[in-house]
Amino acid sequence: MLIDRPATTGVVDDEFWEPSWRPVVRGVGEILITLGLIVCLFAAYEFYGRSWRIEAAQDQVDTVLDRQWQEPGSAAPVAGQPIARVHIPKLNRKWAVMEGVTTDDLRKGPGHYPGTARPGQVGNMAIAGHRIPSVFWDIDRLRDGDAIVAETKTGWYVYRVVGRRKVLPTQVEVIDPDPFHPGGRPRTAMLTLTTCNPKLQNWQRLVVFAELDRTQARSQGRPAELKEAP
Amino acid sequence: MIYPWIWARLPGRFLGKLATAVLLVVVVLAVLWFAVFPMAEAVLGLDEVTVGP
Repeated sequence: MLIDRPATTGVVDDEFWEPSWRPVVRGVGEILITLGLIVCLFAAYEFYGRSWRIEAAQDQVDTVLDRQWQEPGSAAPVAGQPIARVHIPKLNRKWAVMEGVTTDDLRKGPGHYPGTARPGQVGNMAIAGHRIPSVFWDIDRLRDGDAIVAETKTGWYVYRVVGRRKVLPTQVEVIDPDPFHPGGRPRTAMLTLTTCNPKLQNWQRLVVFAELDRTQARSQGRPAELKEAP
Repeated sequence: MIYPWIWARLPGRFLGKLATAVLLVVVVLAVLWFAVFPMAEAVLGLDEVTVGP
């Protein structure tokens, strides 16, 4: 059956007809929706993707660390290699800490600022880590007296939290050998954690200070602070 | 009008088009997740957690 339908009468009765600008508007709309979805996905990546990646990398560097400790002799820290393990029993967390704070190092776990003290040394052992669930997300929950335990080939170093600060990213004095008297000669062994603050933003740094409380040789077994934590 | 344009150019009939479309989406997501986002993160400075001058 044929229906005589004049195409150029100027009468619009075709339901598929649309003004010529409408496909353009629709195209722009599609692009905007697509960009919006990509931004949502990027947010998901920042939160979960980085965490998963660090957890996967941690499994690997943890094994590397155990292998290093089985070899005889004590090696100097090598950039990009794990140097120690740090436990925070209150947060039920432990990590193999990398030597170095480059982007690549921090993608594997917390990183030890090169040139700062090593575990147990007088000075300031400074460690940076991402503010994401698998790293330093909850370190704002640490209170004075909470234990942070550094584990090396030879022993355990139990630090106790003594303070927290929120600083600007340029305030390097927080990783000074004596963070409470910058420029002075250090008398105690400190451990300092830095991460970004507020959560999911990066215009401040959250800093947690801890001071060495006691040392325990490996032969004496795990310190009591870690007994209940994994 | 990008998506209708792509859909019209996918091979096969409905199921073939659907399968190709899903594959395309997966490829795009993988490229974003494993290549673009890590780079974007570094460019935007969202991964800065250290103190420094």
